[in-house]
Amino acid sequence: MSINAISILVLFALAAAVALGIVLISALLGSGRKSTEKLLPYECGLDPIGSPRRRFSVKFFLVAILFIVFDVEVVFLYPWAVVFREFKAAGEGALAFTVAAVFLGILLLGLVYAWGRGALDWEE
Amino acid sequence: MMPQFTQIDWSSLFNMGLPWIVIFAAAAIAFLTAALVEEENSLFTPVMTLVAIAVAFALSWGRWLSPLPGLSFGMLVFDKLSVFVWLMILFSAAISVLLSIPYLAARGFVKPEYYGLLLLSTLGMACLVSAGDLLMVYLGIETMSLAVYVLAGFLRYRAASNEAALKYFLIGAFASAFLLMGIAFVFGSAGSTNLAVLAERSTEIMAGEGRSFYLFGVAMLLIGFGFKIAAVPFHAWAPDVYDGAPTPVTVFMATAVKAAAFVAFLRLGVSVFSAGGEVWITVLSVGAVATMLLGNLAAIVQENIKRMLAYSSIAHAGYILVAFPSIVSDPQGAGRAVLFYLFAYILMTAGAFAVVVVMGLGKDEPTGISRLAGLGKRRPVLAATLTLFLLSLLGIPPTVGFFAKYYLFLTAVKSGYIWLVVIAVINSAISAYYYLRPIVVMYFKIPSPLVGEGQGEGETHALSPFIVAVLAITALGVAYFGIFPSNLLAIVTGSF
Amino acid sequence: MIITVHHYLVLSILLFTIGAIGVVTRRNALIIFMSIELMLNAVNIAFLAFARWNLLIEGKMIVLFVLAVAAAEAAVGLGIVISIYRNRQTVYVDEMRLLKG
Repeated sequence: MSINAISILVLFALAAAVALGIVLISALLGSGRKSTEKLLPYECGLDPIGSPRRRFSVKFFLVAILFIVFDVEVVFLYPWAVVFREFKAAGEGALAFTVAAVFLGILLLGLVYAWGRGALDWEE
Repeated sequence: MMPQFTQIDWSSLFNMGLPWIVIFAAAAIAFLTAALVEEENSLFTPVMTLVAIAVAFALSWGRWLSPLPGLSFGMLVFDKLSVFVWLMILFSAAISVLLSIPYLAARGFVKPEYYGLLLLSTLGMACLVSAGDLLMVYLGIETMSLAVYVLAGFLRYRAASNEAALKYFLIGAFASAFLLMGIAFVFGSAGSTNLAVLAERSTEIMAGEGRSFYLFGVAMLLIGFGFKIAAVPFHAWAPDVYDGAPTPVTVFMATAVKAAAFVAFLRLGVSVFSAGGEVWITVLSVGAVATMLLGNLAAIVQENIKRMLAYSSIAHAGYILVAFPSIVSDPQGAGRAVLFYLFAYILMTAGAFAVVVVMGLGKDEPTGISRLAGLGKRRPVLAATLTLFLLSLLGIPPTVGFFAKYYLFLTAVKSGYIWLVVIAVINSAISAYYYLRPIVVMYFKIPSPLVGEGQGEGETHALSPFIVAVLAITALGVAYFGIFPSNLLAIVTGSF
Repeated sequence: MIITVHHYLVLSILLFTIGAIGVVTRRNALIIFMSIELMLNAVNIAFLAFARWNLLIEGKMIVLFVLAVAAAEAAVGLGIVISIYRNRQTVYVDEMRLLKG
């Protein structure tokens, strides 16, 4: 096993020891008394208003769904961008550009549909 | 091998893909209509869809007739097989559209997206049946399924439709995970996902050190496909989904989706099963027997005709699987028998479900078998066509269903799987019970008004011309190819 | 110890099995879907390991496709779950027993 691997293991062991140690020390030294103040969820020193388990509008889901689709589909542009220069150098730049344009055109169609159906309007 | 990007002959690819582009353009128009047009004419989208399907059909028909050899682009293969199955898929898509028009109108739920999704799903099937690479198989299955998940839940106010969509979605995604795991291991052991390369190398891989990975990979692929074609023990979703989905979507799932999945399975089988045949023969025969038995036995106890047809479709998947072990020794014969069967199956299933659509044109979709009581008197022609379809599904001689089964079983006998055929014939005899029961109910049972038998709401209307068209085409097809099976056999022989 | 392709494959199959068990045992539709996503990501690990082992770029390419398809699947799945929740106020699959027989 290489020296690097050993040092990483040592780091892991230290991290685990510190984490365990802090939990143990606070359990040993702490009084165990519970008060309202202590049981409140920590929100940067402010008193929380209301329960976090509130139902929120379905619009958030809609936006999340649209975001995840358009966000992830763009992943295909990364490999395309990486090889584009090579295609250009080989004189096939127009072809590579057309292919990406067709792909983006299909995405655009999806965007127009979502827009036209009012999926992007927050106010109704 | 896979051609490099710049080596692809783009003009011939465009030429081959032209029917697909037509279908995609129609889908785009459907979605744009939904998004941009305020008060659309409710017939515009379906008619536009039908026109697009007809244009794509004509283009592909010309390709099927042309004597040019098939073209392979590595990922996509355009040969006679893929063009023929694509024609069958377009045919069943057109039937689903025709059935959808009155079905959706009766529910006041006419939306252009419905037809857009149907077309996108058809496009996925195109990729699936032309797939020359496991990656394309995956992408085709996903494109096809994602659209059908939404279609199954399209009547979103109906809880049963929602439930069908959720079940179909969860099972479908689960199955794709298995399929992908299989692709990963096949890729790992063979170093390629191209089906042509796999066919060349599989014997060599099976002899080498990659053997165990390869076996594991193909087994996972089998599980994935088992879910998609609803083979036992991966069938449990099918009856629920077929029952809950809107009936025209059920028609689409039972015909086009099934045909596309089976043909992709056939292509895969031809490439990989020949090496290490014994293992796959055992697995496929056991699967065929279990699927036939369970489908037929469960269909007997169904009271709802939609569920009965769902189980019957499982049983038919079992019959088709009977021909699969023969792939190892006689790939051509097996392929032709499967194509013949799929063609016949699409005709008779679409016809039988069209009658279910008529029954369910009312508000709450009454599809109990007892509702058929007295149909022979009230609607003699409708009852006669349903009788024809049921007899064909059962496999009574002068119908196409008989010859489909005959060629399937003949292939299996030729390859020496006589025991399998004996079990299949016994199963056909079992199926007589549930196929004949609706006929008996239609003609000999007097409807009792107390339990709401007879006179489904939809029957009070005159038959929509669209449904008449579907019934006429499918009934003529079943009868014509039943009397002249050699014509269909010639078409099929030219395709595989 | 040298980490070989087999270690990655063991990891991948373990994650895949955990995901499959999750699909079979859990009753909340969203958690079932998360388990399926776990299975898909386990497959991605296997693809990357094989790509590295065979020195083939195709494995990495397939992972991109799997990611994109999984996103589309997530969108469709969430849409279906939302429409079910609107009608039934539940996401538990064992409460969905309209279709039986």
